[in-house]
Amino acid sequence: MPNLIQVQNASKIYGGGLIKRSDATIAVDKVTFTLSDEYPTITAIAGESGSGKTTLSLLMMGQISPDAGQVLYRGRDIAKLNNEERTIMRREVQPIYQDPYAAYNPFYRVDHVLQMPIKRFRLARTKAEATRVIENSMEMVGLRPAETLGRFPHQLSGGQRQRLMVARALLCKPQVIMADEPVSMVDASLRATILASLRKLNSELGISIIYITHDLTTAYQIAENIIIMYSGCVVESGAVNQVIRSPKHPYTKLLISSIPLPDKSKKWGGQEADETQNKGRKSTGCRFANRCPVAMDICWKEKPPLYTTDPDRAVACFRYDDSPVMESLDVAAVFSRKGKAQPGATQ
Amino acid sequence: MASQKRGLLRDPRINPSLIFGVVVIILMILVGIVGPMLLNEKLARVGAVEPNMPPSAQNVFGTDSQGRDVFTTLIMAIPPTLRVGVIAGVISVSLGLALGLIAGFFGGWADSLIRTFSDVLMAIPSLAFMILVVARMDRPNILVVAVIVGFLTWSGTARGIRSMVLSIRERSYTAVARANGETEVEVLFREVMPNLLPLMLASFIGAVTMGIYTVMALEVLGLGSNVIPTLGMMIFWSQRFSAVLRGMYWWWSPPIVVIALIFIGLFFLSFGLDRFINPAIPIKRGRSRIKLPTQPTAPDTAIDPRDAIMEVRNLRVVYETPAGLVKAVDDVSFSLRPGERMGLIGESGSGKTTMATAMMRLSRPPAYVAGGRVLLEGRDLFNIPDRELNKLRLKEIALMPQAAMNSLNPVVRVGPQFKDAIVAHLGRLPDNQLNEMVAQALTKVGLKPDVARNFPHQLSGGMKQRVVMAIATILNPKVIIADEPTSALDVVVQQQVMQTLGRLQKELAAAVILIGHDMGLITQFADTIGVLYAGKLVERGDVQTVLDNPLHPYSRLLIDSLPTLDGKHDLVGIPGLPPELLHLPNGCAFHPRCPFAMERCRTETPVLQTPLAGRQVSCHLYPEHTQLPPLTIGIDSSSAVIEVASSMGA
Amino acid sequence: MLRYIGQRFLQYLLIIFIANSLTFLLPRIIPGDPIQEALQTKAAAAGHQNVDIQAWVAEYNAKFGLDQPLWKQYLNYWGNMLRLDFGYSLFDFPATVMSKITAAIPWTLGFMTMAIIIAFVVGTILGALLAWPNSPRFLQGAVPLLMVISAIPFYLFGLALIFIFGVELHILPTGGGADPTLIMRWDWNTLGNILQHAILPAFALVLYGIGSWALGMRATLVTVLGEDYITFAQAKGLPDRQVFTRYGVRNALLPQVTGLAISFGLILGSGVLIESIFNYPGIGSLIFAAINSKDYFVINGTVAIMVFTASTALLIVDLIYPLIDPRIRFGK
Repeated sequence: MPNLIQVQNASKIYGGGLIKRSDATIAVDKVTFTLSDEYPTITAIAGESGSGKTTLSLLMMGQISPDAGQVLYRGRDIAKLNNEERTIMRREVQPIYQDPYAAYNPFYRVDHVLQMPIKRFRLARTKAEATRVIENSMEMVGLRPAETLGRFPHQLSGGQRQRLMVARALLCKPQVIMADEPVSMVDASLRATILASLRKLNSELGISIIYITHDLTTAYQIAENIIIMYSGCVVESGAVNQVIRSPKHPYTKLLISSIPLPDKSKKWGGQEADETQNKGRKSTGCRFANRCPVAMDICWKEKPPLYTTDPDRAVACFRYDDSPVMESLDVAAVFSRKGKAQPGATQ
Repeated sequence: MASQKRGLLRDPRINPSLIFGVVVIILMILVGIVGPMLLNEKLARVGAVEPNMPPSAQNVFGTDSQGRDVFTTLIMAIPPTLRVGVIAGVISVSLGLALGLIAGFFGGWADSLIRTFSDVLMAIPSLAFMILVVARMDRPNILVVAVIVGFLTWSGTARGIRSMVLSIRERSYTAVARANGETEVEVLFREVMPNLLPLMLASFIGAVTMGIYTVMALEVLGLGSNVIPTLGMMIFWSQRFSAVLRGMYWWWSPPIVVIALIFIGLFFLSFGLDRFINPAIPIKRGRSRIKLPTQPTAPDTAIDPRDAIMEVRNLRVVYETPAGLVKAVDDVSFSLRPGERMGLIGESGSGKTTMATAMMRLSRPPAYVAGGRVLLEGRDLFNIPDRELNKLRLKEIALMPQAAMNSLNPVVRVGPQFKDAIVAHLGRLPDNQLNEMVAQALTKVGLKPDVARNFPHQLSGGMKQRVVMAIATILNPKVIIADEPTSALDVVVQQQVMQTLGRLQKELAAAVILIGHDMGLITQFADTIGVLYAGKLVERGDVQTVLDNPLHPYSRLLIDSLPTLDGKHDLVGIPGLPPELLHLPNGCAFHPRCPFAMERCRTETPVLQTPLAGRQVSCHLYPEHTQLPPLTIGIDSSSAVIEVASSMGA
Repeated sequence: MLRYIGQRFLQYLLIIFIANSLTFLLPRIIPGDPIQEALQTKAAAAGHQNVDIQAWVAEYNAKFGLDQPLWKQYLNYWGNMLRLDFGYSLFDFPATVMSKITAAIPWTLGFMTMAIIIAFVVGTILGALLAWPNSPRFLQGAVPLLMVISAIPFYLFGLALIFIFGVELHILPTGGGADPTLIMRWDWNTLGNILQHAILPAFALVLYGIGSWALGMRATLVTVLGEDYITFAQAKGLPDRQVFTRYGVRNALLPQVTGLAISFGLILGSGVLIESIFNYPGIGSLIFAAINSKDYFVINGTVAIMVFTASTALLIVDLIYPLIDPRIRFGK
């Protein structure tokens, strides 16, 4: 079983009644992506709001089902898992959400979210063992049990709450952690701590992490590979060192030049306003065509395939049509595999 | 459990309305239970006493035309009246809960079916309908009537439960519960239901009110049972025998008073419950909403007033909370040169937005300016009359508020929202001149002039932000306060909006205070920076200088924690917990997290000083040092954890 | 937009269908024979003790078509509904139900319209004043009083008002729509007399209405005044008064106006109790009398009219709402 999660040519369409199909938004458009368990790695899925990154993660967790294509977990279609397999998958694929306050039921003390998985997944035999397991995972993310447990969620800071969520995920002994914007609602000075603990879970415990974000600087810092999404499609994919340090797709370039860096010598690029002449035109080809500064005629008519421009990168843009079209549809096929295999990492 | 109960009684959401309602209703229930035990029930029967007698020692409330003792009848009438309400309430809430849960939890066709049905029920006037049904009954049984009322009134509860379930489902804790291995049924009963309790209680009170009201109305109309005395029947009987016209006040007035008490109790109970559930609704508002109590409390320590366009001196803003006064902005002083772009950076709770509104004299309760001055070209904004202040706002000092999404009046087109501002400052102008000004302002921020004809909700987030920017700059203000102008925008749009703001700033030669939490954004936009921590200005200086050589330990750690694109490095956050404004540590608020903390920092609050030219810092390391000493030991907060990790792996 | 209107109209038809089916079906599920009961009541009232009630009932049943199968009755019922033909009064034969309703409607519309408008205007202004930051302090003390007033079922005020102004002070009539001796003419005397009779029942409604309109306005306005667009309007340097009226009151009026339209929709049903207490010759007294004489067809017809006007009014409210709130007009 080499592959943990396989998204195969999956699409997800939201909205649109029976009568008017045009209202529908294609949130994820024929994406194929494999998360292997050979190399525990951190993969970033990045894009702006509406890019489909969260929808893709929900598909991978089986929380929604694709309208076309399929999602496999350890080679089995998620939709067809039996109860036992589903429970295993639930435990092995753990989410971390954006809002560290909404993730807690205000009715209970924070201990509730740590005790439930122990009971449901039978992670401890005795009470003492449960306490030890909980305390171990809390210490792993740098929390002191004494100043955290027994409190109500509103009595903790945002950073504490989010770290406790990481501890909760860790408690379940997951194979994968799906972290959806885990630090965007946390203060800057506390972000680094949370990201560092995610990185540690990956490097020390061999847990794969999918890091969903709009922030390319944190993606660059913690991820090994990255998928850039725009309007439901993958526009660029590969090793972060390639994609972020020398972007090729016009959209990736735009994104990266828009990042305000805390360094005056690195001037902000980009245009002042984007209300250009093409805004209203509908593209049946590349979805980025109406914002693209270098769009060609073909871009409006045809959807670009992924071209393998470098060993570690694929770009969906006709400007690179001199490079070979990617053989596999899998956007992970170009990922760098520097992460060493950790056979004993599955705990 | 016991500790939770104590906590509930001390809950700040408990309000006088709630207490009053509970007391009245409990009193009524007690009278209804105890009263009949103490009284002779026979006196409430027809012909038990001499009819039509005014109050006397024997019959305290007199007797009615049919020979009943009014007082006894009144007390005997309370329990059946309340029982009717409770039965209607229980049925209505159970149905509403079940259907609301189904609609909210499963959605789809079940949801639309339930919704359509509840729409239909809501459109049918329930009293009229009840009249029709009950009029067909040979001898109306009030309990049956209560049951029917319950069946007719569930739709409000169902709607409330449904929308609550939907909002709970949006909160990720249900998803977390599933990830924790809970089944759907468990999620429903363990996670969702407990949070529905207050709403169910409020719905129950509403349904009880509705039940009592409807049954009583039917009784007053003559659709009651002549057998059991209820409060409604007492009114009906007194009406039938013209008690009012015959001046028999002792007969008709006691039931009215008791009915009124029951409804008042129920009303205040539900009102108080609503406040309990939604404590955000402001309960008390005083006149001070716009007028501010402003006496400077600290001595002025004017700093570098030379050629400053604006000076903030010893500004203090406090929040009045049930737990005490919170110092949100504490003794902040700085000055701004004409045309300067100043960034004000702070994390949540640092007081940056509070400061922005205070500088415009727009603080609203529970926030109060507790001291200090804001001098705009020498005029103290806190010490001028409203009329004069209004002349300065927008024309001299403009604010782009944090929530640009909600800063435009939703029911007025964009154009008039420019024009009222222009007219307020320049007086009435010819229409074409006004239109011209609006068109120019819109063009300047990169929008088409016909945006003026749109309503705000027709614009995207970035466009709304541009409209707000165009309004704020239309009268060429000398100072612009921009409070997180791009916080809700995607990175590309953020960049475009900030470029526009930068160009406008250059054209107007205005000074800008950019408030934010993103160091990158402030670096790219601003010339100088002020760093806020727990309501205090801890460092001020030129942006690049501060980035290269921060003087305050907090600035240093904050800058070190920022991710960059210059190669991967260790991610190091600031250790410890962010400050709680209600329980700020003594001395320097940062000392519990500071790697350089000394004994003095625990006791003595540092003041802003100038250890280097053009640099200000509030830290006890200065003036002994001229820069921050190097950090020798690693302060990686997770260093302690690495051992644990290895022991876990073993 | 067209889709919205279409959907809303379909829903309206559904409401009418379900409501009418229920008004047809429910009474027929409940055991008992309305005609026999009514005639017994009538006979008792008239003193015909020895009339053959059964023969009379059979005659009436044939006249009203109650001897036909249920489905035929149902179709018949719909046919009559669409023609607004509710049959004859049982108690007051051969007066038609519709003639009784049309005679009563002007009275109800007259005094209720007066009451609703006065209560709305006074209540809304009072509510706005209560929410105004610069309003005098003593006004704030009125809030608990308004809460108390709006909590009490308003027909109870009616009893107290009759007692105070009619019985004790003798300055206003205690009931009825006009003096029984008055000859109706189009002159000031008639109008004055009618108004005089309408004052007390209207006052009871107005008292209650002021309380609930004022509380509603105050609550909405307080929320609106906390919105960010109010802060921005102040930051634009607009005078307080203009911020309050053009930005605050303007937005807070929307739900009030909706409420007003709904109360006009419920106009026929909401005065029932007050009318019966004042013996006011409108729809309320009609239904009150019908209930007590078991005149089932009058009850049925009146309720059908109430349901019809109420659901039509709700439809109209939903259709005009987009005109007053642009967010709905231009939203999807």
